[in-house]
Amino acid sequence: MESNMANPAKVLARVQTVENHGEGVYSVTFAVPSRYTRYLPGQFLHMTLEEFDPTAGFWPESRVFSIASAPRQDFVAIVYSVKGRYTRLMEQELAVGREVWLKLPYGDFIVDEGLLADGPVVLIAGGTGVSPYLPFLMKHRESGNVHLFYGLRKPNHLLFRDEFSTLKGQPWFRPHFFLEEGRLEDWPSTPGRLSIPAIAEAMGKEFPTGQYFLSGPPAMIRTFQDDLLGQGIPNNQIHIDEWE
Amino acid sequence: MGVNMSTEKELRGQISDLVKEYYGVKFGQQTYVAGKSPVRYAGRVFDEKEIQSLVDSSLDFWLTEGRYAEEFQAQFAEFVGAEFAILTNSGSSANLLAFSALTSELLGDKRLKPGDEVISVAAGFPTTVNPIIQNGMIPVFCDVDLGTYNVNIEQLKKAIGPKTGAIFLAHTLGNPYDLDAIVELVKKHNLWLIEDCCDALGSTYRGKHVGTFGHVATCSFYPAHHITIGEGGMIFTDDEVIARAVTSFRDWGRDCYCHGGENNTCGKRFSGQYGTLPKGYDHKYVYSHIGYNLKVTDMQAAIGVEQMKKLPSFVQRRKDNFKAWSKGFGQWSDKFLLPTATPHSDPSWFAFPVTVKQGIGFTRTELTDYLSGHQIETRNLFAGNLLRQPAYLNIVHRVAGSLDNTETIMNDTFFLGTYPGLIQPQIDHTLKLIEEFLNTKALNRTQAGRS
Repeated sequence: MESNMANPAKVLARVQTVENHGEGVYSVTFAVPSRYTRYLPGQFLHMTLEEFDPTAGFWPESRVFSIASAPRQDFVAIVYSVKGRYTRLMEQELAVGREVWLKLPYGDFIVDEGLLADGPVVLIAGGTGVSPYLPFLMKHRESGNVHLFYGLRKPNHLLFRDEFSTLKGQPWFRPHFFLEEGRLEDWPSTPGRLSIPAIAEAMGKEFPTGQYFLSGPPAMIRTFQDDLLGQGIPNNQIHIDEWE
Repeated sequence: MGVNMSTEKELRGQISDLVKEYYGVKFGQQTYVAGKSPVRYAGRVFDEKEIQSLVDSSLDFWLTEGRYAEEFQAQFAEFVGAEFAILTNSGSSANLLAFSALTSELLGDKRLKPGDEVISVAAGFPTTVNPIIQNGMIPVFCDVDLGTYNVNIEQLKKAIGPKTGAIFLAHTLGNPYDLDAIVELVKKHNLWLIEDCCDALGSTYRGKHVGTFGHVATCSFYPAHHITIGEGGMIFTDDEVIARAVTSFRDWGRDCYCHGGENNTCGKRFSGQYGTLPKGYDHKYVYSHIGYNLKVTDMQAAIGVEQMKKLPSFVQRRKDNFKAWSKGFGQWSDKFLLPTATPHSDPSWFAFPVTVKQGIGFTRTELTDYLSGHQIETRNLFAGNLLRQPAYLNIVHRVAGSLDNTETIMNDTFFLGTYPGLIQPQIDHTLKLIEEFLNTKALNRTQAGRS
């Protein structure tokens, strides 16, 4: 069952930082009062480059982005990849100091802490699809069993390098990086494309009991969902970040 | 467009200035004259800011929930320390929504079902109990303790049975109940706890705001309450699923979460599969609960935004007024049972409750009649004993033990106001009148004894 969101709100935010990862991938942080950053790991926000008049109320054209920062801070972060007209405009216009309207939070793709009690939480990401997992991964915890399967084309595509460094050695965090080209210097990685058979092999006996989260390009999500179902993982153990 | 926007802004500014001037003329020169002016037990406390905000919202003419509702909810959630705050049109609606949300299928097997028992008290306001009955469940009534006017914990323990699904209690007149004991019972018996904080905004227990101990809580913004928006209430919770269910029940039971003026916020408007509807049926018209429409207007929320800024000072004023009453009534402890704060609590008192002791030569009603004749407002502790009220004579219910103290409250308890608009000269005048009343009664007794 899909359900309502509880408390979405619109807020005027100011671009605080812009980081260019190369090849059209950017991380952006927006300064936002902390009372607006009450969201759950996995949720997303809407951002518009257009004028929004809150006294008129009608929300203009916008795009959605997974929230890639921990909640309850005075900023929110997103990652975007330049792919079309709107993201090209973002590349041109989103500079430090620019004000934009956001509305948040939304989404049912929630990485729920409670699932950790039932078995491994398996986060599967392709490219910038790793973003919605960051709020969950950055949450302090003493125990748990969290696998991150992160597929990359090249080493320099690795996002959130600093954040992953802080997680190194955490007993609950089990990263698995898959690279189509090259290798990572600071993390072990597996050469080749990320795939469900590769994940099944890495998970071993834990594979049937995992709660699987899929985030990335639509084609990848569809394929991985089918493959998980094909390998006997029931639908209620598969969570997808799906859009029309 | 630029010229129009500029003109609109200028006009708004001029209107706002005029409203401020109007406030000064209409409300700015109110004085209290002892013996001539009434002493209210409650009332709205505001200045020009509330009216300016209200008018600003009316100029938007957005009407339904909008920018002010979003701001008000965010302010409220931050104040009480809850993850979610959801605005509704009254405290009673808040109770109905909070309780109904616990029947949601989103909660799986743990949801409340018709026939379940829910523990409450009869010495309180009816709409703490009504949602239990309206959802086909059975209220179980416990007695309260005199002085705190909250549930008796020993009776509460005995009231829990195999059918008990929840505890739904108000923090009476702002005085928190024994949350240590109740939270322990809730955990031990795997129950839901709904905290009715309609009279307790700003009250804390062990340093935490009431309403953040149970699963879901409610608040009221009727003019008698700690802040007001006229008609209004809030549901607050840390539980995402409960918050979703509350919002759905509030908004016709719909599944969609687009606000007015929005479309396809979820990005799945035409691709979902719901119930046995055809795949892709417009999500805007998918209903996952048997809901209501209990929303507020943005104009009400605009008042709330300004009231929230005043709330800390309002809470302090209520505490100060309570102290002033306590000091004044301290001399008559042989005649009145005075209120006591629950251990570990710091109440933001809704009122100053007093119970007239037995056999002292006058009744509660004689005293409140006398005060009323001198324009001093008092109130009884709401319904007294709810089970004595006409509407409740034939409800299906259970009583755990006796309701002796509830009967005492019905017969002998009243309260005086603590609201922020109450000032020391009003308290002094009231105390003087009570002293006169007591002296008259004492004189009558003396004369009766001589004759």
